[in-house]
Amino acid sequence: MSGEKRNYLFLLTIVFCLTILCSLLSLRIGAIPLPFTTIFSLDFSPIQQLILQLRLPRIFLCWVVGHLLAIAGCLMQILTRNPLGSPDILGIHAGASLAGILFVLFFPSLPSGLLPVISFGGGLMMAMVIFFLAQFKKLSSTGLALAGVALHILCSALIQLVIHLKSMEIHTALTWLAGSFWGRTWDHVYLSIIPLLVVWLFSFLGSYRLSIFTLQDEMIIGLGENLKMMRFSFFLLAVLASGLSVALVGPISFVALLAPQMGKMLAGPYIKRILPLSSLLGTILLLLADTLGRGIAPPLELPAGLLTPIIGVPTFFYLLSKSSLTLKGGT
Amino acid sequence: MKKGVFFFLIVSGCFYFDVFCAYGLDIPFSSLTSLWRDGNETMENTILLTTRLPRFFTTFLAGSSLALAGILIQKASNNPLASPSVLGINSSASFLVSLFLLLSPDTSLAGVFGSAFLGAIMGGLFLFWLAKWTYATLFPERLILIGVALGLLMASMTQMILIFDENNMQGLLYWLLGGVEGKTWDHVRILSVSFSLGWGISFFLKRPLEILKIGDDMSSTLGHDPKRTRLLSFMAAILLVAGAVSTCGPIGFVGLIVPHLTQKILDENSTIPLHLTTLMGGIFLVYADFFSRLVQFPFETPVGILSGLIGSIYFLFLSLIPAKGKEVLVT
Repeated sequence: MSGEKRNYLFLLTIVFCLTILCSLLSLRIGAIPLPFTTIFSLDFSPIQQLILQLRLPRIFLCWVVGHLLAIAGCLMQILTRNPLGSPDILGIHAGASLAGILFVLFFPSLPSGLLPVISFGGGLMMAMVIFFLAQFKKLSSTGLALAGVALHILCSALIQLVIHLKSMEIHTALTWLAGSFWGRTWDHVYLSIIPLLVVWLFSFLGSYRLSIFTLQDEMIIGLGENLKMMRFSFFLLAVLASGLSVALVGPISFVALLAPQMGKMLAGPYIKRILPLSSLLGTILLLLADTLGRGIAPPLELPAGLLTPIIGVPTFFYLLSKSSLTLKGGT
Repeated sequence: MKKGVFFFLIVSGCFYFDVFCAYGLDIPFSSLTSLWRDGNETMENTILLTTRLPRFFTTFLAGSSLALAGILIQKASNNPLASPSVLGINSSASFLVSLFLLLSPDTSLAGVFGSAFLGAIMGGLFLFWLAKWTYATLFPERLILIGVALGLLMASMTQMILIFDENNMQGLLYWLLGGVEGKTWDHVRILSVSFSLGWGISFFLKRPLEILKIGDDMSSTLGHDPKRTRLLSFMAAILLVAGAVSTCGPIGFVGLIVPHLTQKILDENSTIPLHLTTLMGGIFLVYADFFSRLVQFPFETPVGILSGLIGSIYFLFLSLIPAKGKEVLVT
């Protein structure tokens, strides 16, 4: 085992322990603070019920969504060869939000349980539009990223317009738009386990192929790989992951954008190492955001999507000022 | 010369649209000439003097400021994707304005301008410190990534303020969308000071920026310190953005799109069109304002929404055109 690899495993262990620590903290802090002794005494008291019904599913969901977003961001940044090419910048989250808001506005009589499904559809549709524009117009990776940014701006302008025109009826959608773990139950966790495993398995098995994308397109074709097929399948995987995360907790920005970058700064340019590390980092971010959102001003709860940049950006800047990397050539 | 006449026609056209047939009450063209004779004795003249003319000048100057700031930043960082809104300068200015409005009951224009200016400088310093902005040509990706992260951070902190400050929320929310209604001559005065300062600096920048195109080394050989050029253009951009944001709120996309639009109508080998871009920015925003009033007449729709819509559609169109031999956008 080389020294470099040992360093990496050491780092991964530390980050994993940190994630566990954050999960425990998240159990403890909230409108009703619980001391650790109460948490670990398995006496099935009402407080135990509280933990099992309210807080534990949220923590599990943080793990799930953190992994999904980090993997989606990683895949898309590699595919677009651009550090900005994450689903929240490329308009997939914005498409999902637009679909969600239009659904709330025009079909208020339908059950609100359909909202995640509709928004998932919106995100998927936006992704397909980006992808087929890119294929049809024969755009380069940069072109793909740009078309995505344009669609993102278009969607958010439309959302602003809708909010402005119908500001009275839109309040339910507004809380959802910020991205929050409030009121999520075990059902959400059960629903997400199998897709998470699929995304996890495929992306880790494919990490070797993914690393080929650090080369130029011509080189990939020259190596005998089916470029179009590879690009399409990885893109689909990323879109499924990010769409699922939106369906679960709403469009949380930032995690997919910067968790892979932080992972890269810590682990170096090896995709096999970046994937697990950035997944854990994304989870930590979400756990901290969710916990802080509950803890800052109880009983008022701030949506986690609002707090992720506030925690994450300073961390990112700190890492950036320490690192000598120039962030060239995407993840 | 022909071009000059063409632009004179467009400017007078938008002047006519905005000031005279600005929906609601048609004012005949002749009342402008009678303005010199009668002062504000007739109703038409009063309307012209108190609402429509200040509004026109504010819109025009704000558009010009943003477009000039956009082209200065794009040229100085040699990155066509850079603009005040993308780099988070708009958001940091509006964050500080929100903070100011939260903490102090005084809502005077000077205070708002001061805090917007301070915010813009704060954002600029951050970029300098982290992105090594003076060497921006070396790390265009780093600059954009940091800018977007900064913008995200500032936007979510502004949202936090919105949550905690329920009394002012509606007004602040509206201000954040970027609107130009209800502007007085005071707004025009503030804007014209910041605009003429920024514009004045840009006269000294035309040559250095032109030379910067052929590289840092060549530039210093020819006697223009590239660092000083970048610093100066950045300071001018900050001043311009502060003026525009403090009067009209954070109107995005003008700074990103108008420079591209202007360069599209010129031939490729022309010099950097600083002044033409300035003019076009004003024209663009006046037209956007005119159409934004039609959306739900007789109610106002913030011009920021409409400029975002128009801008994103144009940007999408731009990104779908394959580059003609040269690299159009570097990310």
